[in-house]
Amino acid sequence: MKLAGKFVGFVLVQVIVIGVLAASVATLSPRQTERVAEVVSARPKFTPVQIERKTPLEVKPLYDDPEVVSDEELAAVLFRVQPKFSAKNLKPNFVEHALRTWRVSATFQEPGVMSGEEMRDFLLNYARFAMSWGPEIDSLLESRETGIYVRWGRDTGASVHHDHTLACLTEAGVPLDNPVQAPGRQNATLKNMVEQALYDFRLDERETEWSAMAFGLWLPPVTTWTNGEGRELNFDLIAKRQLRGHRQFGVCGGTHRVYSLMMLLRINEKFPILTEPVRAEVYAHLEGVRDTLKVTQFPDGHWPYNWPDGADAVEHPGDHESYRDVIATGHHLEWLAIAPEDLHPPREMIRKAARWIIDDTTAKSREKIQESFTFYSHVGNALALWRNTSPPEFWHEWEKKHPYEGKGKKKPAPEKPTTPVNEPEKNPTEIEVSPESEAAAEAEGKKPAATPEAENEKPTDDSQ
Amino acid sequence: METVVTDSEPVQTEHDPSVADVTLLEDKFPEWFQLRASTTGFVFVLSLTFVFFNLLPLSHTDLWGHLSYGRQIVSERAIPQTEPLMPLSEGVPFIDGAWLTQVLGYGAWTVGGRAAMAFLFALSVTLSSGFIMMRVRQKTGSGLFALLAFGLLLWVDWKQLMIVRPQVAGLVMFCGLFSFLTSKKWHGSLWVGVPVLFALWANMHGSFMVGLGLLGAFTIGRAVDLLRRTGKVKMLLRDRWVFRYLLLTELAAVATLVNPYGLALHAEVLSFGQNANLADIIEWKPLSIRMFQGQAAAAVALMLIVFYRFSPRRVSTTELILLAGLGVGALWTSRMILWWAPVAAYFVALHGHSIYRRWRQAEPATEPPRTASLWTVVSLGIAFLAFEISHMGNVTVDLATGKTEKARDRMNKVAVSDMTPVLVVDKYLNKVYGGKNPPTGLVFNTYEMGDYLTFAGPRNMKLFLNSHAHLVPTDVWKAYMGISEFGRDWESELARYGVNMVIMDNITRKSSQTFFYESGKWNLDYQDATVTVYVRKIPI
Repeated sequence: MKLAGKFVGFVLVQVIVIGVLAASVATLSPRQTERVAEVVSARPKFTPVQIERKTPLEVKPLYDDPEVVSDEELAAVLFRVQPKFSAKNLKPNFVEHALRTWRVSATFQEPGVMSGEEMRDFLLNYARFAMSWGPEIDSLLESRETGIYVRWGRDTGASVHHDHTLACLTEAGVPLDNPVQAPGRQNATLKNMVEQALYDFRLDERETEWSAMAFGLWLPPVTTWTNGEGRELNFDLIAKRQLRGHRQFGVCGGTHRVYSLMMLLRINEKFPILTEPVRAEVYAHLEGVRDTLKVTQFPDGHWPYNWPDGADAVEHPGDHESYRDVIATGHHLEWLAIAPEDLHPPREMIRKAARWIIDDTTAKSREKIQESFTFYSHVGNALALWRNTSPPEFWHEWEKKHPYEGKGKKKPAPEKPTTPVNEPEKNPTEIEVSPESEAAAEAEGKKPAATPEAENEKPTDDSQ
Repeated sequence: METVVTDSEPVQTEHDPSVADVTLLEDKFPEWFQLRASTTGFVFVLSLTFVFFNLLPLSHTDLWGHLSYGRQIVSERAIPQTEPLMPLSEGVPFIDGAWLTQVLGYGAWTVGGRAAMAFLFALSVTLSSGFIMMRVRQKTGSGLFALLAFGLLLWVDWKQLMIVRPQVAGLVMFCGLFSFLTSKKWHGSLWVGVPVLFALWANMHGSFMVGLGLLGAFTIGRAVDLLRRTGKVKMLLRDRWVFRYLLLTELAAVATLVNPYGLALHAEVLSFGQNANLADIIEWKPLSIRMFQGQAAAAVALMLIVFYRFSPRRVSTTELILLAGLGVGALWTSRMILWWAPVAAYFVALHGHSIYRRWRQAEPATEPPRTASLWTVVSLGIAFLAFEISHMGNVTVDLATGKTEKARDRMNKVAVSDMTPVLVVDKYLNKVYGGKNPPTGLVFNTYEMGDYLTFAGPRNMKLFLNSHAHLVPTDVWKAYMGISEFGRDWESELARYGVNMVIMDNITRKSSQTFFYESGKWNLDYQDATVTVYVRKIPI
């Protein structure tokens, strides 16, 4: 009898244990289930947010102003920013910039200029990458449990900025189901790359500009999601992150943050991804940028790299090399092309800035421009946007009227520069990296600053 | 004064006939109300403990942070799913394993302010040490060794006990459970009491896992001892203690699922220590002999080694599992010393007493102890006096007599530690943030001050962090460390986060003034003995 009681008690407790355990498991939220599975299996578990579109959103330009740039001038600039790269050790950063400028649809009559599809495949097919870099360099792409990871940072053959590859592919219009081939995984798609980006994005990492842009162009109407750490993210947080801190921080003198904010604001017009207070905050911030541009333009038309200093930047020009002014002016023209007029400085200032940068660009040979391709590509894109077109669209039309006639014969007619141009004083293989990037790289121990003077400048030859 | 004796014949003594002979009086109180004189001695010791801990200044970290979360939960009437108080942690998932302690704590705060906090803290420490003392005395019959256990427990855990936090509630439950499990008798009430205890524990602090480990150690320890003694597996099935411990462990484990997160709470507790930020916090570092608690633990461990060498008492597998398991835990992260200390103190006392008894060749007392209601009354009187001496006792009297203002004044006069930034809140922050144009941007604060500033500071002030380091994003934490240690990029990091005000403590970061002065971009806007406030000359 005693034994029977003991047995009944034992069974009863087991029933209670199993019942409560089952109920507890059943009531876990999906994220909690993942977390429990992660702890039990000691492996990452991640269910990315559902992406409801097959192709990314596109933010169209708003203006067609031939007084900003004429057809001939645009052709002259675009001719100089064509992706005519050496096939060996092709820098992903160059290809990414070229692809976002020229899109996948780009084709060129001139032999040796990479088409949009070739650029896309270089980035998305590890075999193409390996043909350029050889087997000793790690693949740009890496297959992970949570998606396709793009190697980025200061390593040789890596993309320079986090999610820059994805953002450029996105701006170039590559669809979600586009095949991606990484070592050990042949059947991936761009979706896996987006998912990996969602997984490893951290709101407080140094560079969030491209993640912000990529998420903005892929996720709407979805407005909230979680990253691999389970952090709930939304576009308000993404926007506030771009607003955080001094304007000087961020890549390319802080201009990429402005561009990303403008993109989010435009996307918000169609899909309400920002709450009203945050939208207003973003708008006010961009108004502030506009007002700063009004007081920082130099008489020749350029905006200085230290534009965040306001009027002080004109009175006390920063001790930076002149190519940085190309960066600032080109990038500002780019975001202004998609900004409503309320956020513009007077149009005359824009025209003056365009004049300066057209002269600067067209005064240089294409070979010279190619050496500093990354930031001049922004110039090409910006000027095309100011004509309410895109580089490939314009160039296709241009080549219909001005067919390529062989090396040395065809020359698009550039406007003759009206002002002396500033020759780059820097090592042309350098790319633009913000002080933030530098600090980030050093903080991560990837590469120490070369010299004390270079602390806030960056450059290494393998970071292009 | 003569003792009232109940169990023996009245003692015949010569006395003045005009005075009543108290020895002839019969103790009319029921037996359960009668205590031994030595018990009154323990009550006295525990009352002193209570008074002492009650008078200690309230710590500057943790307590205020937990009160802030409690306030948040009470005001929202919901447990937040993501971190609600640190702007830089927005969206970070928040599994609040201490929500019940926070709510109860905040409830107590609304009644008694700082006095209530001091009361609860002192009560918790008193109860924890009381449980261990009581059990040692029951096992050994020796008040001296009970006091030894009491002393060792407080010595080893001293540093841990200095911080008022939900963990202290966990310690009460741990010591209570340990006391019940080491009792000579099995109480049927444990079938209900232990699961209820664990259901509460799981909602009050993540240390319920240590409690489950305690139960598991008793189950396994008993089973191993049985196997060792009998060599028969079937004995395990017949042994009522193995059966009881096993079922009790299962029921306790199930009870811990009664929490707002279910099984996810367990996942959180198990993975908590892996948070990278904690590696920078001293109490999460491995126990070291250079730490005060490391030295105390080493001394106790040495005592254990010596006592085990000479003790005639059988060493159970349970105690080996507990001492080794919790000891290794403490070597892994020094916070675990909190749980090792009561177990070690208990076994030191037990084995110490055995050695002592053998040395004195003393036989266990055969006579039942003498008890009297007088000692009960005296004990109650002592306990009441201890309460009355305490801050909360004074407040209670004021409230009971309708002196509300005086009570309020008293409850806020309870001392806080030197590093608590009280003045800066009262004299500076409330003023500048209460004005028409409050400062904008983030306020960088040192970790140690974040909790108090969150709780008592202006609500529109956006602080960098509080002591819930595990909820701070890793990048933010790294930036915090770089800034607070004045690493190379400290100033650009402040600009990157849009910090316009910095609150630095003067006690551990005296050198900060030089950095801010040399920068030239900051004004010293406020200073007292505890903190210095710097404000950016040109706000971002």
